[in-house]
Amino acid sequence: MNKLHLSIAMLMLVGLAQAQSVTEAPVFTKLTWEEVAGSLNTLDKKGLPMTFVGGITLDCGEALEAPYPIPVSLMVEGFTDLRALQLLRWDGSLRKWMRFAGSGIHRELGDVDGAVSFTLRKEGTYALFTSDHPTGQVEITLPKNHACSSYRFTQHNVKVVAEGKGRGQTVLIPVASPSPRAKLVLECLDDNGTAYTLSAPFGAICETTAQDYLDQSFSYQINRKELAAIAQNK
Amino acid sequence: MKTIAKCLLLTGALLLFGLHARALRTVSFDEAVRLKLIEYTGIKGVDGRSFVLDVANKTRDSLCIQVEVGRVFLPHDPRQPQVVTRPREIYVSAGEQRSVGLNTVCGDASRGAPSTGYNRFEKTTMAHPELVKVLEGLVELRLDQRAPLQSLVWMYTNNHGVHQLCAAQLNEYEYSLLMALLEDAKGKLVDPGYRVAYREPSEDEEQRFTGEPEHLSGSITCSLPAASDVLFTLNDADGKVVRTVRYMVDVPPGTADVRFSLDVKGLPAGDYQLQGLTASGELAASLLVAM
Repeated sequence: MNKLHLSIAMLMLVGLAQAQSVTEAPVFTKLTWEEVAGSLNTLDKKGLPMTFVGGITLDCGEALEAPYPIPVSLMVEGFTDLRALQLLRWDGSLRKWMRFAGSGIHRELGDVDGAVSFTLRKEGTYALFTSDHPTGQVEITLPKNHACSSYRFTQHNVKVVAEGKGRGQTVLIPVASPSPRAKLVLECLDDNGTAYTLSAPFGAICETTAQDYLDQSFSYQINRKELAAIAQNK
Repeated sequence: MKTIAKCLLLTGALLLFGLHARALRTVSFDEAVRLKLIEYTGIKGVDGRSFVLDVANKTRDSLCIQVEVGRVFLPHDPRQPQVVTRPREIYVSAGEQRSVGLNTVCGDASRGAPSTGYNRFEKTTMAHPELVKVLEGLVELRLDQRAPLQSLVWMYTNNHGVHQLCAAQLNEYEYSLLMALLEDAKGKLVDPGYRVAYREPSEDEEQRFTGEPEHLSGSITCSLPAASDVLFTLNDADGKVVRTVRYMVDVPPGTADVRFSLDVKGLPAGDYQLQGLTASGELAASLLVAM
């Protein structure tokens, strides 16, 4: 009996040793703009939108981090000044992109033209952003007794996604120059407390004019009639 | 009569002075040993740094003994021989005994260093003529202080490869000069495109060459017919990924030299393959690495 126990214990030890010796190779996946536009956003820790440049996802399996820092190169054509770029890590609970230790980027001798390099160790979703565009905001006011619970604004031409909660009747979107073709989704409640979703191009929800862009003033009020028309056309 | 006596006296004095004040004799170390002009003992301390040569002049002349680059001092036990990497002139007056330090490196990676006290060296020979030529070239170029002399010597004594030259202290131009010297001496060299640095032995270790790879660096040529992401990995002989070297996103089509530099501590010495695979699993780059 003792021998049997000893054998089982030995087998367990061998199994444990083998399990520890098996190290899974970290898996990289390219993060596309479509994925960012579909389920993430491009907001920094202050909630200000940035422009997505490129990103990757690092999966280290059960280990949660690679045993050593791994160099990664991303193509960022058109960026000669690396100071315009910042490497951030996606925080799923805050739904924001955050700085992390070791987020420095550099160009390596021998890098492919237009590529920048950085090293990663912890698993997660990482992306390069620029935030050199002017700050501003769009203010949308819903009809009386209507409330916006959340919004999502996606502008593909500059690769910006902003999202957040509404402030009662008013929605403040922190983008400076909204394209009429940008996609806007508003989750709202009507005066009866019934939830409804407004999903349409920004220009269809807010009637933008050339003067708005000249004045850099984007403040819109939507009345019930317009709301009904938008809901009908969507 | 007085004048004649003075002249004779002066001539005698000059003759006597000439007999004692002979010209300094310059001899090679080999010649000095062969003609038994000197007796010598080499001593290598346990710290592994200093090689001290004790030379005793057995003649009645002052000697300038030239110790050549590439001279090998052999120990009386099966420990490491020492190869001189910088020439030295030793001046010893008649009957004098002097101790001088020489710049040397280990002349056999497989042999142990003295672990108890010191080693005595009482035999000498010359290194391989090609090695002597390269070492002389380095001295001439004033690169002998920073060149990887140790791994260079082991290329000749232990058949180490070019990839084992630990030339981190040389810039690209200096490295090209070293390669030119080697090619001049050895013939055409094929640069394998990578370097392996090995763990330096601690003071209490006998072996000067540990054979334990620590760092791998170099460049690999990546060829892509179309833009793709490429994952570079270091795989062992069984094809198992042992290190993720680099991940490159959206590499444009064409050929590019991708540099790599990675920590390989803990990996056993042996043959590995560094490869770059595209997202669709096509081989974009491959390099055999011997560590």
